[in-house]
This record gives sequence, structure tokens and C-alpha cells, in this order.
Amino acid sequence: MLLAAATIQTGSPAGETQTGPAPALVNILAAELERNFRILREKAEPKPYHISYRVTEVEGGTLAATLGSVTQRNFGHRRVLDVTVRAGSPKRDNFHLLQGQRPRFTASAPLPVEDGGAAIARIAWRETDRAWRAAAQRLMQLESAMKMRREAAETADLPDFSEEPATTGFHNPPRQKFPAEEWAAKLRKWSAIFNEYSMLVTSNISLQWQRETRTFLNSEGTRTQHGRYFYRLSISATAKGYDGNDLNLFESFEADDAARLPRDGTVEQAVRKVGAQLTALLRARPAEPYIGPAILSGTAAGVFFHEIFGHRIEGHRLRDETEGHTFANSAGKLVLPEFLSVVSDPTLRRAAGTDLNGWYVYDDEGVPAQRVTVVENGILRNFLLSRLPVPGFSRSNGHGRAQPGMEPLSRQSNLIVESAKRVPKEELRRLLQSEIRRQNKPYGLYFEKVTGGFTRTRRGGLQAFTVIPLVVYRVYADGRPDELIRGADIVGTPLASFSKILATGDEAEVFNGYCGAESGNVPVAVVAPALLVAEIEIQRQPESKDIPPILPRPPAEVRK
Amino acid sequence: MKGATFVLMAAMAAAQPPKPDPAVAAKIHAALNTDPVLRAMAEELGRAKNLRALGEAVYFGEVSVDDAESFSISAVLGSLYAPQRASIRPVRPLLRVGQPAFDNTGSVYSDYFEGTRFDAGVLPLDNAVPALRHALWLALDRAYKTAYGALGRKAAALRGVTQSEVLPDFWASTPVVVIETPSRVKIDEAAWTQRVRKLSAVFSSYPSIASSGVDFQVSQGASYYLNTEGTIARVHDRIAYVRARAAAQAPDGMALYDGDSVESLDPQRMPGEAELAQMVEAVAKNVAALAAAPLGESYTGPVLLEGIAAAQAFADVFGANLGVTRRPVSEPGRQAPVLSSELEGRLGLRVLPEWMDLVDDPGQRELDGRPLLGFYLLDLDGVRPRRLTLVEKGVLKAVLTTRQPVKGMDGPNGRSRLPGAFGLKIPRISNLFVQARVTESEAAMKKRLLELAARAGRGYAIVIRKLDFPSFGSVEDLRQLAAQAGRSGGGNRPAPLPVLVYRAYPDGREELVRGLRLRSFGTRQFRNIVAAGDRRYQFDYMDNGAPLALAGAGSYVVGCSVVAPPVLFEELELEPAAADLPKPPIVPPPQ
Repeated sequence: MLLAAATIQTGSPAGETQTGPAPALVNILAAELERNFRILREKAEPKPYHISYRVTEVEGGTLAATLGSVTQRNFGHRRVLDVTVRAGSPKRDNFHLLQGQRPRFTASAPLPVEDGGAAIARIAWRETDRAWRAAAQRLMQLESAMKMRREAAETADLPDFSEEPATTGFHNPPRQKFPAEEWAAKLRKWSAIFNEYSMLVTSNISLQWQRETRTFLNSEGTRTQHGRYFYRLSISATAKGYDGNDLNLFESFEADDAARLPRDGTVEQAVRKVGAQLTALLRARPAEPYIGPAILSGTAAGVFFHEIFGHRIEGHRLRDETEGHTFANSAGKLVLPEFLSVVSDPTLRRAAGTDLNGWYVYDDEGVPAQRVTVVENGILRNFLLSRLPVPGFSRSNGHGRAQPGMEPLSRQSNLIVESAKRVPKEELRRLLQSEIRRQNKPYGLYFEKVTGGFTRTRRGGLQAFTVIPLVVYRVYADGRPDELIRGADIVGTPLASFSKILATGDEAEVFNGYCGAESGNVPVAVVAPALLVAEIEIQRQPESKDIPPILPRPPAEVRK
Repeated sequence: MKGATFVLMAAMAAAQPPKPDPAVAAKIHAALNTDPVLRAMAEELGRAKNLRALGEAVYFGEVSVDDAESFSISAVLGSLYAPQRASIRPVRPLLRVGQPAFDNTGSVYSDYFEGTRFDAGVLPLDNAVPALRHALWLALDRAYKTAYGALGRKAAALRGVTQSEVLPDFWASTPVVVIETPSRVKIDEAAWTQRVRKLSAVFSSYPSIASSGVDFQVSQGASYYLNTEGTIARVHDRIAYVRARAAAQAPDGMALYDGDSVESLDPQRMPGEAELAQMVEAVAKNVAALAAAPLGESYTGPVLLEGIAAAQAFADVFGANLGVTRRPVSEPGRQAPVLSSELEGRLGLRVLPEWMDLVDDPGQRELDGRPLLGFYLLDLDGVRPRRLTLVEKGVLKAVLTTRQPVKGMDGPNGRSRLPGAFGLKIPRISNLFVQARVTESEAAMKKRLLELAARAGRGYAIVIRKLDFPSFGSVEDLRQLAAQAGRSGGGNRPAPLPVLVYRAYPDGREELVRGLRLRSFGTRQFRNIVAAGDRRYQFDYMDNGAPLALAGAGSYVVGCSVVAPPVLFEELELEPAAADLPKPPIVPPPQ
């Protein structure tokens, strides 16, 4: 499981979405779904009891520039169809989790972008046949495998698929015009600022935009279509230290509407900050392994929560016997400090002045998105659930998600960390300094910026996590100025980390990113305040030692 | 401007012979001053060739840049996929360190770079020299470090090995200056979109076809090449094609497919709609007929390759094998999994009947008024190609060479046509002419075929009219073909599946059969060609370095043409392409 702040996917809506009559695509697919379902129910063995069609349509592009020149100008528009077939019965079907296998039956077939009935119906027919064959094969293998195994008592009687009501709704984002050439001129101008920072090896400014529409139909009668726009402006640069170490830094801005992307001045400032901070990092002292008190900025805290907590409340992990089941028997029990609450809210589109990356109207199983209170005053109340029932929870709460080509599993959306013990920024810093003195440490740490992280949740390995910071400062208790350091990774084990949270800041920050796990990359966001932790562990990052470019960088100005 | 002149002089000084024609020098000068890409390449190659920081000097360097703009559109049964438009400037740097006798190329380490890669492999799309130079600076820096590392590793791998035959690693060549002014022609995207949509709808009238598609793509731009011998080139680089493919399942579940394409080096000279519709219709008819055809049976006996089938067979078997490359130096005791040419070591030996010749001519632009696809001015090594007699009176006289020395040849002959691994290029044919000094009418050949079959005690003979080359199968189909080839003694080179195979009966009747494959089909079989026709057929295709030139594979394509008469093989073996057959779908296709 990996969280990264880079890459592209999905977007959010600008204005209002509209619901209306079923779009042509839905009608074409519905007829073919019903026809295949009916004939397979009559003639196939084993029979399918559920078929779903999921179409993901993405229109968008990327513009990128470096040192004043456009380097990339791509536009694309594609549609893919994912067909899921469930054979057997909801009680035991071909998706049954066994021995950590991740059953997958879909294969993502490209569809024409025009609603031509003949072509789309034929591709859907072919894919349904393929998915049914794969489903039938696994169900039969499963039946014999199950006879030789004993199921864990707590999951033995759970069905493989929950009952949900059929849903209908069509909410398409209205089309926005994207003036690519105007943006290209801006990217040229902004990227040329990096010419002023001669120590950088590469630098890049890119703008990705897309309109994504997801269409979902199933044999229970669900028919949904929804989507959003998404814009992401990324600023990044790399450099190589005298000792061979690679350094990189980035800044990004996300919005559902191009109008909400930052203004010129803000971007220029961000470019200069990346340039200056990276130049400073080149001269910064390498981190040393350390355990002690620290402050995580809101975005750093977001990644920290996503990794140590978010992945462990994904419901499907409770059905997988190879998973660690960190919170399997914790519902109703205290799992976090009492002053913390956690909500997963895919219906929330904006927080702390930023458009959130993890919102949607329906999940990838056609279930309406729901706000879920996961932790209330430290007590675990719920899990993130797809249509896979887990002990104590028999229904989906709209968190079944997948990237095209993968089968949906319970995943995070917008994770919101709320605190009842909020203190202003300056106070949080004072608390850190007194904690440094109390523990008699030479310094504490302040994690300003992180790029992502990863965690392991399975058994047979260490239940550990890593968060990868980009900008870290040593904070001294004696009033010396903060000192930038480089090359530190935050590491730890999750349960041990929760208890060490002492207080939080009073301003929420947003980390928008992409979470990669068993069902692929899905857009997510974390909204969290800064955290003061009594103890955090850092280790040195893996380092490269190859030499910097041999020849000096070519002159930046055009020679006339 | 000063920098540019300096580079020009330095490059010229290294060149042999060193007297630049003033008119040529002026042309170079003008190009460097007006073309930012060329200028950036010259400035950065000029800096990189003096690199010696790690203790090894660069003795040869080159940079290639393709400046390509492409448009493509696909459709299925009258519905469009979205058009794709792309602009890209891939850059390929190569620096050689060591000596021509022993350098960093030709080993499994040649492309291996263990440091942090900063270059993106492409140049910016804008024409500002500083940003272009920045990208080239990083690309050449990596090339130098890669070369240095590879030289050391290669020497270490050979330390404890006695090589059976020591050849140098580099053939020098003479500098060439080719400055074309590339012009982009306007593509009527809307018209092509409409045409592709319409062509794809042809398949709608064939209900037994389960899947089908039509694609159009055009790519145009310039290819740049610069090396430290003084070669400087900017040439047109254009290709357009229309491709159609279809697949069906026979009642027993056997998957059958066919495809065809039309290519042109001039996007404005693509065939008209009627001709394209004919091609699509033929693919549809072939697949529909195959789905209804009876299964073929094992056969050993005379086989006649008619129409384009003979040219396809020469393209596949000789197109790949005529380029002889050396096995890369690898870890001692571990051979790199690289297919070697069947013609390696066969120079001076007979490979075809003594009345046949093979000539490869990249300088010919057309034949009987029809354009040839294999025309080019300069290869990827910066070498000007010339007409080559490869086989004379059946005897192999020459092979296609790159800058990598091979036994029996004395220099590069300008056939580096595809980028390859190990710091090398892949040699390929251009316009290959199969010439027969003795020919027969097609009727006489058919008669002879039946006589040979009768003499061998066969109730029928086999006529093949089309091979699956370039292949329209899937990667999985190809893998199975390679495995089958390995099992039946054909090496691991997959033989193309014959698409249109007919049983020809003595009474003149013909019957299409399906599901046969050629058993061990390689250069050896070509020695028992017993007759050639008096008419020649031109077959154009795009090669991409993949086995069977798999359609759609690879990111770099090169045009080739093969002109050949029909040929009669005294004996070929065909056998059922045995595989488990998937059951046909339970649900009938939608109406």
C-alpha cells in the first residue's frame, strides 16, 4: 500500500451536476447486460447470479514545461469496460477470499468513445463471456479447495456479497473548455524561473487536467453515471548533492475547476520556494537516526494517518486470513487518543480552502457514497466497507473502489482527522520544546513536507509503516533557529504510534494524492491538523552515490 | 554563432578526408544557425566528445533525434475510438569509449546505467536552444557514464574467457552531409476519421466475425543525426498506414484471424477509399471463409506460394536472417537469450537455388510506378546505404551490416534500420528484390505442383496465398508459435502462420482449409525451391524488430518492400496447429 502525491487520475466537478434520463451508453449496456445475464442463467453451469458493467471514461491531457520550453503536450480520450461476473450464490461465490489470493476476473477492454450500439454491444458480449469463464473456473477450484480447509470461525458464516438496493442516478459534469495554449504560455513563464537556480539538475512544471465519467450497471437494476473534473498543477525539481545524494522537491495544487487553480503570483512564489528550499537542502546536514518528540505538519500528519490508520480500517482486510487484523475485535474500543475522531467522507468536496481528491457520488460497486464515522472520541465505530461483509457489518457503506482493470475492494476516500485538543501553532511549538527538555533530547523534529509513504498490513512480516519526508527541520529547545536536515524517513509500527500523539494544531491542512493498493490506484485526500507526537523514529533514507553530471550545465540564456 | 562554428570545425577536423567542400560547409553553417535542434545537438555533442573525466576518452559519439508528430484514429463497426495526437522528440545518444578494437558496445552491460537517471529520453518540443541543450547535456552525461561502466564490466567478463574469434567492435565510415528541409503535409483529419469509421463498418455485414477494427496512422517529421566523424543529417521521416484486422471462432472453437495494411512514405499518396474498402472487404471475406472452412490435415509434399505469399515468406525468413549480429558479451557461462541468424557463417555457401539472386536496394523509390516502402538516404549509424547483391546464383555473397564488424564483411553497408539493444542497431532489408533467372508461367507452375504431388503419392497439393506476416495475432499467439517451433525443431524463431491454405486437387478444384502451420520453416527450406513464376509481386510492410514484425508492436517502425515471384517448394511440411480449443460462447453474439 503506497501513497504518493504525484501521478494523475480523476477529478472533481466544478459546478452542479445534473441528473437526467439514462444516457445512450447506459441503454446500450443495459440491453446487453440483461441479454447475457438471462441466457447465461438459462444455459451456463455454474450460473452467474450477478453481473456488472463498469465503464470509465477519461478525457484529458498533460502539459509540461522545463526551463521555459514545453516538453510535453498530450491529449487523450478513452473508455474502458470492466465486466464482473459472480457465479455461485451470494453466500459463496467466485470472489471468496482464500489464502490471500486476490481474485480478478475483469480485463479492461477499450470501448469506442462514440455510443455506437453494434460495437459496444459486441465488446460487452465478448468480455462477459471471458469473465464468466474465469468466474466459473475459480468457483470450481474454490469448491474443491474449501473441502480441504477449515474456515476461521468469525468469517465462516459470512456471505461473500452483501444485499444492496438498486440505485439509479445520472450526474454528469458539464463540459468545460480548457484553453491549453494559454496554459502553455504560463507554464513556459513559470518554468523559466528555475533558470535562476543553477544548482538544480532538472525542473519541471506540469498541468494535468481531466474529465472522468464512471458508468455502472448491474443485474440488480443499478444504473449510475457520475463524474468530475480534475486539475493538478505540479512543480518539481531535482538536484544532486556533492556526496551523490539525490534530492527532490515538489509542490502541487489541485482543483475541480481551472478557475480555482492558483494565480500567477502564488505559483511564482511556489516555484521560487521549491528552487530555494532545494538549494538549501543541498547544503543541509544529513539526518541521523533519531527517536524523540516531533511535530508533523498537517499534510505530513495526513500521510501518517493514511498509512498507520487508514489502511487498517479497510474492511476487506478482516476477511483475509493473511492480513494482520489490527482492529478485528476493536469495534467499540479505544484505538486512538480520546481527543481524536476520524471520519471517512467521500461526499465532502472541499475542506480548508482546497478541493478534495477523494470524493465521488457512487462507489465502483454502484453504492452511493456515505459519510462514515470511523472513530469517535478515540473509539472505533466502523470500518470502510465494500459489498464484502465483515464480522459485525453486513452492508456496504459506499467504499468499494478500484481503478479500471481491477476488482473493487474497500478503500479510503477523504479521511478527516478531527481533534478536541487543538492548540495554536506557536503553542504547539512551545509544547514541543518543553517535551524536548522533558525527555532531555538535544533537539526535536519538525516535518514540514512529505511526499508519501507505504505500509505493510499482512502477517508474516513486520506490521510497519514508512513516511517519506522531503523537508525536515531540527527544532532546538534553547531558542537556536531551526536547522534544515535531509535524508530522513519516518518509520514505526502503527499501534505503538497512536498512543504517542499528545496534541494537535488548530488548522486543518489537505494532502491530496493517490493511494495504491490491491485494487489499484484511487484518488484520496487526507484532512488533518498538525500533530505533536512524543516519540517518532527516523532512519536514513536509502542513498544513491553516483556522481553529479560531469560537464557544467549549458548556459541558460540564449546567445545571440 | 561562435559555438556553432567551433563545433563544425572540430567535427570536420576529425573527419576523413578532412577537406570540406565550401558549398557543403556553407549549407551546414546555415542549417546550424536556423535549426535550434541541430544546433543544440552540435553544441552538446561538441562538448561531450571531449569527456574524459573518468579516464576513458570518447573516440566516437553520435546523437539521433526524431522530431515526430502523429495522428491516429481507430474504429470498430462504425464507432470511433478517440483520435490520438502526439508530438514527441525521442533522443538516442551513443558514446563509444575504449578503442575501435574493443569498446563499450556489444555486451549485456552496454545499456546498463546504475546511477540516477535525469534525462527523460526526449527533447523539449519548443525550439529554444538552452532547454534543448539542457536535455542533451543530461542525455550525453548518462551515455558517457553508461559507456564507461560498460567497458569495465565487459573487460572483466572477458578476463577469464578465451574468445574463439576476436573481431573489433567498430567500423568507421566516411562523413556524410544530408540536409533536407522537411515539410509537413496537411492531413485532412476529418476526412480520415470519416473514412476509418466507414471502413470499419464493412465488417458489420459479416456476423460471424467476433472482433474487428480499422486503424489509420500518420507520422511525419524529421530525423536528425550527428556524429563525431562529421556526419550531419536532417531528413524527412514520414509514414502513413491503414490497417484492418478481424477475428472469428470456428464452430469447434478454433480462433481464426487475418489482417492487412496499406502503407505509404507519402501521406498524400495513400490509396483511395475504394481500394481501401477492397482491402478491408478481403480481410472480412478471408476470416468469414476460414471460420466455415474444414480443418487441414498433416501434409508433407510440394507447396506453391502464390501471389504475395512468396514475398511474405522472403520478408520473414530473409528479412530477419540477412542481418547478422554478434552474440553480446555476457556473464561468463551465461549466454544472453538472443536469437542468432541462421545465415551466420554461411557467406560463400549456397542458400537458394543457383538460378536465384537477392538484391537489396534502398535507393530505389518506385517500381513500375508503384512506390517502394524501403527507400531511405541514411541509416541509423549515419551511413549512406548502397545497392547490395546479397545472393548471387544462389550463393550468399553479403549480409546486411551495421557499424558492428561481422565475419566475412569489410565495413558497414548502411543497413542499420532499427534501434537495438547493447549499444547497437538492428540491420534490416530495405527494398529486397528476389530475382529468378529461370521462370515459368503460373499455369505451368501449378501443373508442376500437381505432378510433384502425384509423384509423392498425395491426393492433393497445397497452395498458400497469404501468410500471417506481419502477424496480426496477439502476443500470446506469438508465444505459442515460438513454443511450437521449438518443439518441432525449427529453433525458437516462430514461423508465420499460413492464412490462406488451399488443397489443390488434380481436377483443378481448390478447397480452403484452416488450422495448419508450417513445421520448421527457415532458410534451409528455401534451397529446395524448384520453380519461380514469371510475374513478380510487391509486398510492403512495416518492420519493428518484433518476431514476425507483429503488427502494433514496438515504438519504432521502418518501411520495407519485398518484390518476389511465386515460388514452388519441392517439399514443405504442414501440420495442425494443435492447441486446446476454447468452447464457443454460450451466449450468441448480439444482433
